[in-house]
Amino acid sequence: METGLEEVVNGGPRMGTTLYAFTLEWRSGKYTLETMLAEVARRKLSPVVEMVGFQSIRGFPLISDAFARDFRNWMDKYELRTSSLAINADVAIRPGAKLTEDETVEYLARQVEAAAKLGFPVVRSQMTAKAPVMRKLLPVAEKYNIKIGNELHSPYTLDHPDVISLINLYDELQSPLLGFVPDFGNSMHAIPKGLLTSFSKDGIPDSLLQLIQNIWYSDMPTFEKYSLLQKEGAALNGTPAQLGRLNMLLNLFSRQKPERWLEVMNRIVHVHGKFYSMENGEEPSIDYPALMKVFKTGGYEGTISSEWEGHLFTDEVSAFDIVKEHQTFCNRLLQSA
Amino acid sequence: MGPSDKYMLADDSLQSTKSGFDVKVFSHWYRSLPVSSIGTLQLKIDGVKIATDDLTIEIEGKKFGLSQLPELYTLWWFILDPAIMHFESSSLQLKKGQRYQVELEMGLLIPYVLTGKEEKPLLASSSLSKELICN
Repeated sequence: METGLEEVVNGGPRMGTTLYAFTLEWRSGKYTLETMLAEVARRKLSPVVEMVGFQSIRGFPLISDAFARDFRNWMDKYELRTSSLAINADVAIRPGAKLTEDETVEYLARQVEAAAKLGFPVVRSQMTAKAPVMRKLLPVAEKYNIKIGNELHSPYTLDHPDVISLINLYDELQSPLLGFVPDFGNSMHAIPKGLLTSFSKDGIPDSLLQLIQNIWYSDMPTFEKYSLLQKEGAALNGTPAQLGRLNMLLNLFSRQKPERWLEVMNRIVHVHGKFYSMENGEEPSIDYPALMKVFKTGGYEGTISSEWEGHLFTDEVSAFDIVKEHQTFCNRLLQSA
Repeated sequence: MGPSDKYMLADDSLQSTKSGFDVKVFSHWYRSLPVSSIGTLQLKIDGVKIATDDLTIEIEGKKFGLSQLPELYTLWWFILDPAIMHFESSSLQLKKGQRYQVELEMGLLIPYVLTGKEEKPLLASSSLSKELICN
């Protein structure tokens, strides 16, 4: 029986689809939200769908009754289900003064309400919403019965002071509604070749490319690598624009060992299965066999969205094709893990 | 900065008007941002820099001077919608049907990626140069 690419293996993790992977297809203007959802269904990608509110929905976080009705109808029509709605902790929207704690709570609460109106059981928040904000957001999660996960995305590894504060807070609160969304970009063992090639094409000299690789492969926590990059990059005459591009690499990739996710496994509410390329049926820069084993044997029973992000440096790939390849690959790993 | 930069200018982005010309521009980020995130915006036509004082920008049907943008942190620029830059002056006249090299530089302040000890928003800059026919 053709069931599409969602397979729950013995109650373990299931693969999901995030529309973020189709960023360039969306930007091309060839799709509406409905036709993009239809394409996910037509290609029999996993029917468990995540999206970014501020990417896919005009006027977000304001959700009209008419849009909510249309959205729920499309999900029914194409036999899709919601997983996580990605929301944003945009604390620096106002020049000169960051949002206060209470303003950030209010900013996020509106987005949680939007998620509830659309029928999402989970929202992905960000680490710019720190522990005091998350404490105040718990009543909002309870009001809508929605799980809120702070995304653990590079440079926010488990060693980051803000992450440690949150782990402590969540241990104190003991609420099943507050947790984390690991991003596999945090668990990489190599820098994707495509990114280094794009840096080189953009005129970043070999000396700086060598520097960023030396720094990235060193063993200090990612959040401590920025100042080293600035200092040593300046000594190599790197311009602010060039060093800014290299900063981006630290914002995307960290080298945390896959098994370290076990430390927060009981608090994981959703997962971003980040990947950049598929070669010979595998992801060359991320140890997926180890990660799938960790999440399955660790008892995770939620969704892992196939989050292709190669669109940051190539438009020569069909995101729909590569997501399908990734989901097939991950389902095989989950079955054998 | 990446493959999405090519969407900053569309084939029909350059339009002559009664009082000057319009250029439709699009964000190079992946998601909608508040208008206050537009940190820098620079336009050149055939190598001539257009003074920012001569430009207004229209988003969601409302027009603003470029110096007003930092105040607009509750107005959203949807990722698939253009911002229309209006040039209303006789100092540069474009002819319909003629080709022009349009250069756009845009720096977006990313409000959830904080950098440095002062936690300033990341400035993500992109540029695009494209030959466009004036409609």
